[in-house]
Amino acid sequence: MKIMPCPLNGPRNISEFACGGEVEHLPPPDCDHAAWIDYVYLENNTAGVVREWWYHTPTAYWFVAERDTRTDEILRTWPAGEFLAEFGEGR
Amino acid sequence: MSAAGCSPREEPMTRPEKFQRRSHLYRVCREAGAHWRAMNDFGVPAHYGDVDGETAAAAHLAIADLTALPRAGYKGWGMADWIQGQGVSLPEPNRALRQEDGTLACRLSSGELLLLADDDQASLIDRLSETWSMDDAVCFPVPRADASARLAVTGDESAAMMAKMCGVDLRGHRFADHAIAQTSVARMNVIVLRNDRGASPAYDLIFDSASAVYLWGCLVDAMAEFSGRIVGIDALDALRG
Repeated sequence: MKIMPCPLNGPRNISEFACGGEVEHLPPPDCDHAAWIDYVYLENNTAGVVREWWYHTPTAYWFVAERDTRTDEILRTWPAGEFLAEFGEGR
Repeated sequence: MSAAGCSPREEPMTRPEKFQRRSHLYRVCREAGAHWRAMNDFGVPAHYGDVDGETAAAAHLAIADLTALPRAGYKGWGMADWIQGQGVSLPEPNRALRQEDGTLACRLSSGELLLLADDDQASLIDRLSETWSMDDAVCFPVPRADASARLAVTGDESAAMMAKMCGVDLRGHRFADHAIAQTSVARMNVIVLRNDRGASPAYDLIFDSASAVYLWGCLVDAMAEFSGRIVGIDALDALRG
């Protein structure tokens, strides 16, 4: 069983979590349709280190995890508030 | 059964349908032979006809339905300031702290609190309910009393039995009294609180009441290996002393 280090609950089985997709910046409100389509529907599918929203289902808790998609290794996690304070507004 | 033949704590009505409120488990407990008493407008399984045997079982391995016991929840970014202003001492997230009136304050996150009473004396829960108002709300009430069920798993074998159903290490030396794990038990989202009764280790499970019959069945199945029993609330009161 793969283990996710949740910032609130500590190390837990990955089956308790759902991935919410890569952290991305909201496009500006006046952007064209192509930019919105890219933001809402298209995944970057990066082979490398990505930052993703993750959700701990039993606590309804969202946080951010840094993961290497090549090795599926989880490198670091942040509470959402700390991540946004450090890196600015994400999606 | 006549009223004159009952002990002061025992409710003369023997049919759970006579009470205003019932646990989702009342049919299961009735089938198991529960003797009922009134608590918090609920019909509660007080015992199953063998209080001494149930008390001994509760020290070994047993489950009990505690859904009738009072509980409340508050959630929101302003929860901590508001609740401390009401005189509640707050623990760290995923820890519980017993208050002066006996209520357990279980902090589920920086902004969420669950309050549990171990008997029907719920002065803190009642006072907070009367104090909270929409006008100056900095947090909101969570409908724990009706939306959640509460079971107790007690006894020396309880950690071994829970290991069959839950991935978190709940053994006594790893999961201290009043520790909380919000996790998956039998594939359900469950709040697991270690809440020892006297010298006996015990875990309280708080979860969606609509799935109470399912989880009860899972627990009955899991404890059969350890000769566990269904017990009434009288046995848990005896363990607490």
